[in-house]
Amino acid sequence: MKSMASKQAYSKIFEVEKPVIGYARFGRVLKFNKYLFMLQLTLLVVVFEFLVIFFLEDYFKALSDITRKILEGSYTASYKFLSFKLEYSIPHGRLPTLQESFIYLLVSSLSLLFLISRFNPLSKYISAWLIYIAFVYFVSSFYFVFFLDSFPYTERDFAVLYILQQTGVFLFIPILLALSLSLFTFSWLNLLLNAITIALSLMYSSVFGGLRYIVFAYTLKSFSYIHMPAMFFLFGPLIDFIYIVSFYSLCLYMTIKLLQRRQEAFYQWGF
Amino acid sequence: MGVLIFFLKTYMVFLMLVLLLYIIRHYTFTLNRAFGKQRLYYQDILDEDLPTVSVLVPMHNEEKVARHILDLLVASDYPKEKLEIIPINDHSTDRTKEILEEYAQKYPFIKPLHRYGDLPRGKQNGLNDALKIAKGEVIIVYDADYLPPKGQIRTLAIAFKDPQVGAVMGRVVPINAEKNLLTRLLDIERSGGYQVDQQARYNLNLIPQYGGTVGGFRKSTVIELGGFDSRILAEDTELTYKMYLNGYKVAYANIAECYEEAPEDWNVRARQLRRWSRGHNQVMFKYFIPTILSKKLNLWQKIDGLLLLAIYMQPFLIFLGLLDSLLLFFLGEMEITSSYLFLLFMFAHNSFGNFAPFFEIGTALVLDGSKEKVFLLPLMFLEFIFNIIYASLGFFDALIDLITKRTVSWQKTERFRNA
Repeated sequence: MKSMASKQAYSKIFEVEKPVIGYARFGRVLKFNKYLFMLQLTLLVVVFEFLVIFFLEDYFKALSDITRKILEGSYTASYKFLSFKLEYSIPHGRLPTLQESFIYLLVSSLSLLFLISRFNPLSKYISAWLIYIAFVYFVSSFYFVFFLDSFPYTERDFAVLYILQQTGVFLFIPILLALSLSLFTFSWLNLLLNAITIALSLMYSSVFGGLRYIVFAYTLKSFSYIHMPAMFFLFGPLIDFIYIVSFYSLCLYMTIKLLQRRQEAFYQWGF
Repeated sequence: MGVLIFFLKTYMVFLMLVLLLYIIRHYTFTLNRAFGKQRLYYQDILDEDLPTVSVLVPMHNEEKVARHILDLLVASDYPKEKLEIIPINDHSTDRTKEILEEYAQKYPFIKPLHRYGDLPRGKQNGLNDALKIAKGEVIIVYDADYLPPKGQIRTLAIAFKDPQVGAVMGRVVPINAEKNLLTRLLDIERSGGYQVDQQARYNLNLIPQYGGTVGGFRKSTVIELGGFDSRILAEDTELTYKMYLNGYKVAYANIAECYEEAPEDWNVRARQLRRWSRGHNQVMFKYFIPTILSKKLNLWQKIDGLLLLAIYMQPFLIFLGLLDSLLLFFLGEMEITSSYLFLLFMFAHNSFGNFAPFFEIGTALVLDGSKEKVFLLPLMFLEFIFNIIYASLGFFDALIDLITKRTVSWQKTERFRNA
């Protein structure tokens, strides 16, 4: 039988040598502070929605001024959205000629045929996107070849619809990101990181959305309405999603990076 | 024209509601997995009275990977007197048969089943034939490219100590995640799908899915329920619904991680996705009404069961939504199209970007401690149209199967590993 002293010595060695048992990934959960979660969710949504609403008129006024300076022949008008008076400037657009429409129809048809053929050497995911782009142009050019006079929009309609869409993006960013990021409640640092992420996303969106508007307006003026469907279906909200998720992933990376030295700071057993 | 526009607008509203429902479902799963009480699996049961197990490994031209999985299964710590391994050689034309015979000579518990001649090809047919000769009470299935760790058979088999458990499922982890962009994207998709989605469904007593590999089932139960339907490609999804509709449950073992080889080529992935979609939609057509009418499922299980059944129909619904919004655009209804288009893309990406929304995958990556992988999240958009096209094609295949009752043929997933 071992003596008490050797037992103690053994257990001491065992304690010293015992490795730290990490929280195994199959059963760990994240530490959760429901008060911080609710606080983050409420604060982030309320504060940033307020800021969006507060600056909405000023933003479109500034965009209108810039557009007027950059694009010659722009005229200014405004659109009443709820209680907001949103100003915009836009140059006159033009309808495509029959010849232009026919060329687009031919190119998009041939592109579609090539992309779905067995001779297409491109990777399937690239082909999938190109098929989508060619399809949108095929539908658009087909419409302008056969129903040119029935096209229901002018550049003014486009500007209004763009404003509505961009407003939607601004209003949606705080909700989407607050819901996704408020889950992380490891410390007060999360609130700061999440707020910075939403602020950056909104700033990026306002610059990107403004530039996009000017490019689109220029395209309608110089290259005709045949591109209008692509502006909504290819380069519209689809693109917004990419930078919103990029900011989300950057925030997530920073969250893990800042807290990874202390595993116990964000994991616990879930049983 | 007015009726058409009304119909098109109604569809947009319907689609938004469906996609919103999926987002709510995934957000609930994310909250539950991230913070909720996790449901214990059975790994803590220490019992020497283990069930007899037959490990089935369906193989068709698997010379590149056959030795790897057989070596690992031989090294398993499961008592050999209670274990048999049945590699199912399904019409192989390469060296698979010779490799299996070589192992059978060396290890008496390896009993290959060779299927040639008029026997119909396909995993479901191979499994049905193997069930006739398998002696184990419990059947564990691995696809040939999997690399099971030493103690996994025990971990999976022990769940059947619970008489309510009809099937069990482990976690799939790609071994070749670093290979290229596709494997990286599939890796994070698996992470969200298993670490969050499956575990949350298990926690919430909903419908965790038996996935056909790294999993198993009770042989007597499956035989009692009529085996596998030879016309259905997703035998795993079908088994899940058979189990639940007959009062059994599927246990999910998040601890039972097993490496697989994810497709490294977009062509291979396209075929795989189309096959999965076809099989899954075949199951949807067969079990949608029975799920609604079932007396064995509670309300939440029915809702989850129906949403799970329709998951591969979602891409087709989004495809219709895109056509719908294009039509509305040219009909001069851009105001609704503009606002709904915005929501369509947002919701579609959230719920379908990669079969799991970005916040679910993000949370899974935090749980896994994989910080660099979070930068892949925005790249999920690359798969967006790809998924819509190939999952929709699978939906059409299933629709034609339903109408014509044609015989289905199995398409094997190509392997990339060096032999």
